[in-house]
Amino acid sequence: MSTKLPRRHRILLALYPPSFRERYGDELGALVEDALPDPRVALDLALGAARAWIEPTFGGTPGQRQRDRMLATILTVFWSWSLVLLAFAAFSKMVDDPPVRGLRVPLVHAAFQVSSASMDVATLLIGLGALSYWGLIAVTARREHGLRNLLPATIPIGAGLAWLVVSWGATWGLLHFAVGHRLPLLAAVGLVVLLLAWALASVALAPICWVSIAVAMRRASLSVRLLRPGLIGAVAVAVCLVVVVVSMAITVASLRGPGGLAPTVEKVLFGYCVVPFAAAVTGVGLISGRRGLRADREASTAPPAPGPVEVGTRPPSS
Amino acid sequence: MKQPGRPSWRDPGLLVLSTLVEGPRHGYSIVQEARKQAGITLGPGTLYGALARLESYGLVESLPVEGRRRPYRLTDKGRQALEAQLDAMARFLRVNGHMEERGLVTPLPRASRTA
Repeated sequence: MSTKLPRRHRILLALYPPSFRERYGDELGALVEDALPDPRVALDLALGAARAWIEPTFGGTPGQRQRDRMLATILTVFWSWSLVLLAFAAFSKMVDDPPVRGLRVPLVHAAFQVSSASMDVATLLIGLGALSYWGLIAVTARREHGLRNLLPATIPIGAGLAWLVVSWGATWGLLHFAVGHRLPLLAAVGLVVLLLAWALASVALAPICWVSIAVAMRRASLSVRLLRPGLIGAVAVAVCLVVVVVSMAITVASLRGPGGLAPTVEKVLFGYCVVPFAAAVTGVGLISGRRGLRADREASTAPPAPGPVEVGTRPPSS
Repeated sequence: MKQPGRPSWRDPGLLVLSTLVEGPRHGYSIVQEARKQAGITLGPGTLYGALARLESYGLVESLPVEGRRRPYRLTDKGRQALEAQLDAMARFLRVNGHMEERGLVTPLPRASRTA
């Protein structure tokens, strides 16, 4: 990307999806350079970036397009799973820690168990997929590009996990020491800073993992043949997430009223926000799964691409 | 109703296709031609979003890059899609003309567009 561009335009161009930037970034940058200085250009770029994420398109040869679409589906479902996992943790805390009285009703209990089992299956599939692709990337990395392909996935995740463990250990140690002692001011401030650092690291870990895994998989340039099992796994995970969300909704709906969730702000917030959030995220995963399957099917059944067309000629009449 | 692989009337893709009828053009040239043809200035994000969609539908194809610019040209499929949409527009205008003649609708004053 050119350094002649104003900083705000460079930032806006960086907001486009990686596949879009890879294919059109240079041309788009050149056109922005040629455009007259106009605030509408920045707005147009921002809206274009939003649309490129919502309705992704892939350039290049049909094979490249098919591969990019499959990869986008796998990564989108992975992100959906991680967000639904967070929602499910909040949901479990809400109904099962401590268990609410209404959870003893067999139907409600069954719905809760189904949601829990589906989440486990989805997590197992994600774990198997992550391990398999890490191995594949490692093999590709050894054969072609050295360790470069593995670094984006390994360094940030490793550093994030290390930070999490160290800050948690230090906080636990200080808290353990603090019980029954009168802490000096400096130690109390240090404890608060550590607690904040631990919370920050926990929150930052998820997006770091998302981005670094996406970069590592893109750099590995895995073939369609290797991505296909991942696509099928991603669709299976999306289906599991649907079951999770439906079961969560049934459970939350059944727990309203006497013996169910107490109408505190926290419970109402969870009840009305967690399930719709999980449903929305699952919907995104399902849509992406459908697009990925359709692209794969169309690419598999499409005839070979015709040669270049002479400009100015009419199409042959049938 | 939107049909996959065929730009709708309000889609800038249709305008982009029409700028490529006379020959391949790169981004800046497409913007200039669109301004000349329709008085509409396509923003960079709008143009490349439309080009990406058209390319993924197989309606345009890219040529080898020239410096930092890459020309695009219509494919057979793109030309057919453009003709189909222009035919549909022409039919619409004919029907609208009949309705005007019979006094069923009142023509609106012509407005210049600068979007």
